[in-house]
Amino acid sequence: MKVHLKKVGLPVLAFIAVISVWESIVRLGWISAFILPEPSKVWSSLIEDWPELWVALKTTTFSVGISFFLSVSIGICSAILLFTSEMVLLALYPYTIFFQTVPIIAIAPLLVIWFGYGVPAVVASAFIVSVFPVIASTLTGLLSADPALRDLFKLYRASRTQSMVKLYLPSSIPYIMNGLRISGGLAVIGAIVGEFLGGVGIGSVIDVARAQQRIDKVFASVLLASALGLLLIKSIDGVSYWLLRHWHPSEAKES
Amino acid sequence: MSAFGSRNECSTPKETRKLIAMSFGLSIHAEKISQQFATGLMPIRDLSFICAPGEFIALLGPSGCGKSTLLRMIAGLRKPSSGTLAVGQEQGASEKRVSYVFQEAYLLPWRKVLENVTLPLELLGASRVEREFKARTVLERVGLIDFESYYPSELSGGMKMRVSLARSLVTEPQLLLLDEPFAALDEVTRLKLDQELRDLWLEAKMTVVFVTHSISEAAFLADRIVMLSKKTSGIAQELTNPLPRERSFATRADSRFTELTQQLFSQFQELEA
Amino acid sequence: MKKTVAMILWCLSALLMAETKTQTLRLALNWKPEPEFGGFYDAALRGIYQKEGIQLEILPGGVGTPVIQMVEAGKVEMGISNADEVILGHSQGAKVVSIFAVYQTSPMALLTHADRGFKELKDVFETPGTVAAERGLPYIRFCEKKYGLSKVKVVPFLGGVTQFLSDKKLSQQGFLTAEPILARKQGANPKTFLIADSGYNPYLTVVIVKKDFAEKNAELIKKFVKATQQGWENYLKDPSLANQKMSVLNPTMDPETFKEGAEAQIPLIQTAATKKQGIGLQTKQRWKQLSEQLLDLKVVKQIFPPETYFQ
Repeated sequence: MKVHLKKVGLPVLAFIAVISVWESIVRLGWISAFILPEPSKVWSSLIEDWPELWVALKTTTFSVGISFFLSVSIGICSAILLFTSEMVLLALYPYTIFFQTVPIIAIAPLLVIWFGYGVPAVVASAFIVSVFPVIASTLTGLLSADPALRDLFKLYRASRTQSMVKLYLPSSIPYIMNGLRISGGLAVIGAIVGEFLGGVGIGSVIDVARAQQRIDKVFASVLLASALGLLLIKSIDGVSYWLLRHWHPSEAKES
Repeated sequence: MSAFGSRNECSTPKETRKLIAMSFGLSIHAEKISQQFATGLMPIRDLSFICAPGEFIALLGPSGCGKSTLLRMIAGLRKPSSGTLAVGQEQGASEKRVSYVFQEAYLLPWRKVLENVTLPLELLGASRVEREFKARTVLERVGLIDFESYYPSELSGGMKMRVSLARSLVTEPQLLLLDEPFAALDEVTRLKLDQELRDLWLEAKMTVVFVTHSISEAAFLADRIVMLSKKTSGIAQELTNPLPRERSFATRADSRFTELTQQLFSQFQELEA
Repeated sequence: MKKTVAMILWCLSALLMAETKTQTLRLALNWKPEPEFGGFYDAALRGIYQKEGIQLEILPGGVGTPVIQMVEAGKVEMGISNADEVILGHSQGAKVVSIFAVYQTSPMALLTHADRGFKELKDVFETPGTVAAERGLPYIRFCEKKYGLSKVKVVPFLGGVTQFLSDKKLSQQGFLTAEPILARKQGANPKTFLIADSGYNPYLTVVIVKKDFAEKNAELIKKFVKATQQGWENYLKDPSLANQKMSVLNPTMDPETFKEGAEAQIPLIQTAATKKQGIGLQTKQRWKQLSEQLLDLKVVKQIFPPETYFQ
C-alpha cells in the first residue's frame, strides 16, 4: 500500500510543485505572460475553447488511430517480407534506413498536394513517420530468434510458415512492442505536423492560434496532444503486459 | 570378456541384419567422416563407428574433442565435410524419428508446459486430441503432469529439463540424441535424471547417443562408451560396459563401476596429456 | 609629465566613447528578404544607419517566425510585424510599440485565376472553390464577417504559389509585391484583389520595439526612423542596390521579380500624406479604426487607447 502511495503521490507532488513555480514566475513578472502564459490561463483556455478543442482532438485521434494501425500492419508485414527473402532484404533495407531520416516538415506540403487537404494528408504524414520503427524493430526481433530454438525447429522439419508463426513471430513480440512505443509517439507528432498544413485537428488549432497570438490556446492544444500520445503509449504498455506477462523478463512479476 | 579396448563383434552379417530389421531403434553407420570448419579447425577427422539399434552409447571426452559436433552431424544439423554418415539405413527411407535434447531446456517461453511438449507433434500435423493425449502420457512418465499449465518461467532448472526430455519423447523417437543435458543441474537432480533416463530407455528401447564429459555419468548410463581424442580428432577408445542392464543408485557402489570409472579416468588423463 | 599622461588618457577615452557611441541593433524580419524590406537593406548597405551611430543587423525570417515573441523576450531589439498583430499581442500581454510603418496601404491580396472571371473580392467568396490563407490572420475573420465563408473551402496557405498553380479553382493569399509576379512568371494568369480595397487596411511591415526600450532610447529611435526614411526614399527611387543584396539572400525570387515587386509597391508606400510627413507615417485615427475593427470581429477581447500601440 505504501509503495502504491509513493508511486502515485510523488509524481502528483512534483506536478503541483512545478505548476506552482510556473504560476508564480509569470505572476511576479519574471517572464512575460505573453511568452509563457500562466497555468491558470492555459486552464481557462482549455475550458473556454473546449468545444473547438474537442472537435479537433477527435479528428486528430482518428487520424492517429488510422495511421498507427496502418503502420503496425504494413510495418510488420514488410518486416516479414524482408526477413523471408534475403534478396529483397539486401535490396531494400538501406532504403528503409534512408527514408527514416527524411524530415517530415520538408515533405509535408507535397503530401498535401498528393493526398489532398485534411485527414488523408495527415494520415500520410503520420504513417511515414511511424512505420519505420515498426519495420526495424520487427526485423530485429525476427533476426534475434534463439539459434537453439531454430535448430529445434529444423530438427522437427518445421515448414517455413510453421517456423514463422510458431517461433519467429512470438520471439519478436518484445522487440515489436518496443518499436510500437516509439512508433506511437511519432505517429502523434507526424499527425500534428501534417495538420499544420492539412488544416484539420489539433495541429491546425495550434497553427491558427499561433497567428492569433493566442499562446495560451497553443499550450492548451499541446497539452491535449501530449495527453493523446500518453494514452496511446499506455495502451501499448497494456497490450505489451498482456502478451508478455507470463514469459518475458520485462513484464514478468518479481518472483 | 575383457572390458578393455574391445569392439562389439556380432555373429554373422546376415543375423546382424535380421536383428537390426526387427529392432525399434535406428542404427548409425559412420564411415571415415570428417568435419572441417570455415576457420580451418578440424574437430572430427576420418572417424568411423557403428552404433547398433537400441544401443545406449556415451560419447565421452574433454572439451573441444568434437563430441557435440559429432552429435550434430548425427542429428543432421550439419553435414560431414567428407565421408558417409548413415542413420537408420536398414529401415529404409520411411519416416525416421530423431529427437535431440540440448544442454539447456530451450522451451518456448511463451507456451505452457503442455504446449511445449506437444510442439513436435504440432509440427507434424497431429490432431489436437492426439497430441495432448500423448503429451500428457509422457508428462506423467516424467512426473510433471501436475505442471502442465505452468509457464517455463515458473519452473526450476531440473523441471525445465524434464519438460525438454518429455518433449523429446513425445514423438516416440527411434533415436534420441542428448548433448550434456544435465550438466547445468545440481548433483542430486542430475543423479535422479540419469536414473529416469535409463529407465525410460529400458522401456522405449530406442537408440540413445549421450554426450557427456562426466566419467561417472557415462559409466552409469551407457552400454558402450566411446572416447574421443582431441589430438587425433577421432576415436581414442571404445569400451563395453560390464554392468548389468538393470541399474540403480546402488550400482554406483558396485566394484565393477569403480573399476570402469578408474579405467575411463586413466584413459581420459592420457588423452589430455 | 602628468599633463601629457592626462591628455593621452583623455584622447583614448574620447576614442572609446566614440566607439561605444555605435549601438548594435538587431532587426528580425518576419519573412525572407523581399522588396517589402528594401528600404532597410538600402540604408544598411549605404551606411546610413552607421552615420547615425547604429550598427544594424538584419535577421531574415521565414514561415512562422515569432517576431513579437522574440522582441518581447529581448532576443532582438527590433522586429517586423503588422499593425493587427501588434493589437492582438497587446490584448495578450505583450508590450511593444510600432515606430515605423512601411505600407500605408496593406499589400495583402488574394490571387485568383483570371479565367474564373471575378470582378471583385466578394465574388471570390461567393463562388464555390478553394481559398488558401493563413487562417489565423484577422483579415480572414474580416472576410468571413463581410462575405461569409460557407461557399468556399478554406485551406492552409503553404507559402509560394504552388497551390495556386496546381489548382485552377484555388485562390490564395499573397503580397501584391511577390506572389502575383511569381505566378505570372510560371505561366499562370492571376487576377489580384487587394484586401485593403474591401475596408480592412492595417499598417503592414511595421517596426516594433519593446515599450521600455523605446522609453529608454528615445534618441536612438529617432535616429533609426530618420535613417530608415532615407533608406526607403532611396529604395523607391532606385531599388537595384538593395535588390542585389536581397536576391542573394533569397534565391527563391529572381532579380526580375524583385524589380517588378519594388515597382508595384511604390503607391502602397508613398502617398500624398507621406510626401508631406515622411515615409513610415502612422496616425492615431488609423490605429483607432483598426483596433475597433478587431474588437468588433471579436478577434480581441480588449483594446487600448491608440497611443498604446505606436509612437
